[in-house]
Amino acid sequence: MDSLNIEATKYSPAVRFEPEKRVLQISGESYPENTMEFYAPVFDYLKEYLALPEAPPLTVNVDLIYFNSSSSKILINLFDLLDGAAKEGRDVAINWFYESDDEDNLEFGEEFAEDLEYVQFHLVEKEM
Amino acid sequence: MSEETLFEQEETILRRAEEILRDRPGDNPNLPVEFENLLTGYKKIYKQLRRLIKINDKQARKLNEANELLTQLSTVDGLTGINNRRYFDERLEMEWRRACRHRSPVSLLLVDIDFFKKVNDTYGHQAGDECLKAIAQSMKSFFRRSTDLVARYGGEEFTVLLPDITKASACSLADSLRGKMEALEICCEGLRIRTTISIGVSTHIPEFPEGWERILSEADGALYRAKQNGRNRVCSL
Repeated sequence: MDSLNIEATKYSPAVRFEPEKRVLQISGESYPENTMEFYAPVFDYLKEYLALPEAPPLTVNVDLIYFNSSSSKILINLFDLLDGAAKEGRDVAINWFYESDDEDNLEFGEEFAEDLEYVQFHLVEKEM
Repeated sequence: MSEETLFEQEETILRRAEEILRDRPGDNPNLPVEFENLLTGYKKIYKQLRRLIKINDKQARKLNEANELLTQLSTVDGLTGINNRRYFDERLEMEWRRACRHRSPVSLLLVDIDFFKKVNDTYGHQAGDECLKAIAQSMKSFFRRSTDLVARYGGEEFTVLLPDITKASACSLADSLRGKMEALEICCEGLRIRTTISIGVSTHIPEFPEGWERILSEADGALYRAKQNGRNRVCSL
């Protein structure tokens, strides 16, 4: 598969996927003007990746500082998709990054994690 | 991806429920199972919705806090901790309009530390900064009404906005302040520094809501005269 590389803007995060590393990285802030349009390629890409017959493992790193309501809905859908893949036996892990002094962001991670049953979900404190 | 895709699960549940209803539910032997499935799906989405609201309430609060901090940073002078020129100008314009509506006086003091350059040259810039801080805080505690506003206008220059204060009262307050500053002993790194201030006073009962800058330039003229007349004094035009 090709790599996925979306540059960050003031309102949207950087999204990178390097197939050889098997890591999807979402980092920055998420207030796209059209959230659905922004994330569509990410979902398309992930669905394609998760359908690969050799079933490679996948790590998703989420490092978001601020995100709007529709972005949190996107995250719920994304985590749901990954949880479903994990349920079917795929080796999938999510790393939720937060700054050590950002208790809110830690709690957001905990909130998202509560709905998930199969996928590994790690809360990762960032080095300041 | 369209909006439906963002709410794909929700749309699917709705569509299925509508189909079941349309197909004469009484004839459907699988109805309890179908109903069970729909309910499970709905419960999951309902839980997610509650989570979304919780997360977004917190996001809004977080943004609000960041916003408050930015407002504070943009209206406060970093060195002295009192309001800055930007905030002062905004408040002056507001007070000027208010005074115009109520036909009430508004007074302005323009304060300059005498021979401040000498303080810097003699004791160093750090001592100069300590003087600015001490004078700012001392001025702030001198004006006690909540409507009074003390700001650092730039360098060693301060402004005081006194709404509903007549010229005579403003001059008398200014002279008390001058006396207080003359008596103030600023301790910094073992030194005891004393300075004086000169003050220009201007009072207006604005006739028009525009032209608030006038009171500033008049106070500036009065301050110039205070300096010309030997400093450590109050002048008004």
